[in-house]
Amino acid sequence: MEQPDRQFNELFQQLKQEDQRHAPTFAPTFARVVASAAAHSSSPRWQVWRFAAAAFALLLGLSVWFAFFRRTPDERMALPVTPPSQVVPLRESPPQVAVLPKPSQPVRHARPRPHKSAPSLPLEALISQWHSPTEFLLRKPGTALLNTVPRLGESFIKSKTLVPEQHNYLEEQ
Amino acid sequence: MDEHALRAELEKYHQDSYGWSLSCCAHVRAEAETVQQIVYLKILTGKARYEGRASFKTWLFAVIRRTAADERRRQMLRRWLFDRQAMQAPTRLVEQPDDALYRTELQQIVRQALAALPRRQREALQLVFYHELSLAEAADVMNVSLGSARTHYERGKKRLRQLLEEEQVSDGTTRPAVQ
Repeated sequence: MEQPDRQFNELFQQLKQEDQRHAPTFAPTFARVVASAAAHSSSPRWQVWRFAAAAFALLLGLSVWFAFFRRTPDERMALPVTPPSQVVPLRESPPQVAVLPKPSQPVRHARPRPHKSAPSLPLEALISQWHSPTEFLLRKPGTALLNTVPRLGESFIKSKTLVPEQHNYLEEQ
Repeated sequence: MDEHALRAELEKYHQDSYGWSLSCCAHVRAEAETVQQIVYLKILTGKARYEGRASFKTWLFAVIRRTAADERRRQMLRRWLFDRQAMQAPTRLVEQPDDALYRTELQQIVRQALAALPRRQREALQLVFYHELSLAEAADVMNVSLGSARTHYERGKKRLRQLLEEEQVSDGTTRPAVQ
């Protein structure tokens, strides 16, 4: 051991001796612990209460989860559900607009929507009328100018100019 | 290990385990005694079981360290729930009135310097110098690798030396501080 380490050792040994002077004796401490252990083992009620409290907390958590994150059975009944095995013919009947989830997947925050009557148009017509929700991004300011044939004497730029025949009221005043 | 053998081993290391409990509980005697009793209870009821992978002393010290940490957390939670003002007060070495009578000035300085060290460094120094464990055993107790324990030990020594020297210089007296 190096010299500084030896000095540290001496300092710590002094602290140890002082601590040991105040240390409680073993026998009474151990007797107290044995009595406590006996009392602990003879009262299984504590274990039962702990188990009951844990079960109650679990139930409470589950019920909160069901209340907030799961639909009630009534809400589930309100949605029109088509069995996945049933194939809808394309031409004969109008298509189902709403995309229904698979029955095995849990649906979150799904609320019953007002039932709309299915359109009576054929599927091809519906496809031709479909617009992308982001279509407006493709529109440019000069689209109207480019899509029309220009004519003489007609201008898209609307500006007021004073012609000589018109009175200039500002000058008269 | 049967109850008689356990009792004999606990009695053998009773003083040492009390000293270690004290240092794990910031030298608050009541807390140290409580922790020691909880540890004995854990051992007697089989919640903490000695499986012979390390020496009994090392294992006992590791159990004490974990129990003291649990108690510390529990007290923090209690203070947070019931006494917010106590929570905001900085933790410091608790000096009891009768302690001061028995302590020499130097011991007080060493204890204050130790209290100023980070916990891991303090534990490493305490285990090596106070309890005379090897660094490998100290690493087992602290639940860190040997390299990490060595780092804490070296840094702790350096910092403690600095603190003791500062104390000597600021006081202007010649105390038997570590060179």
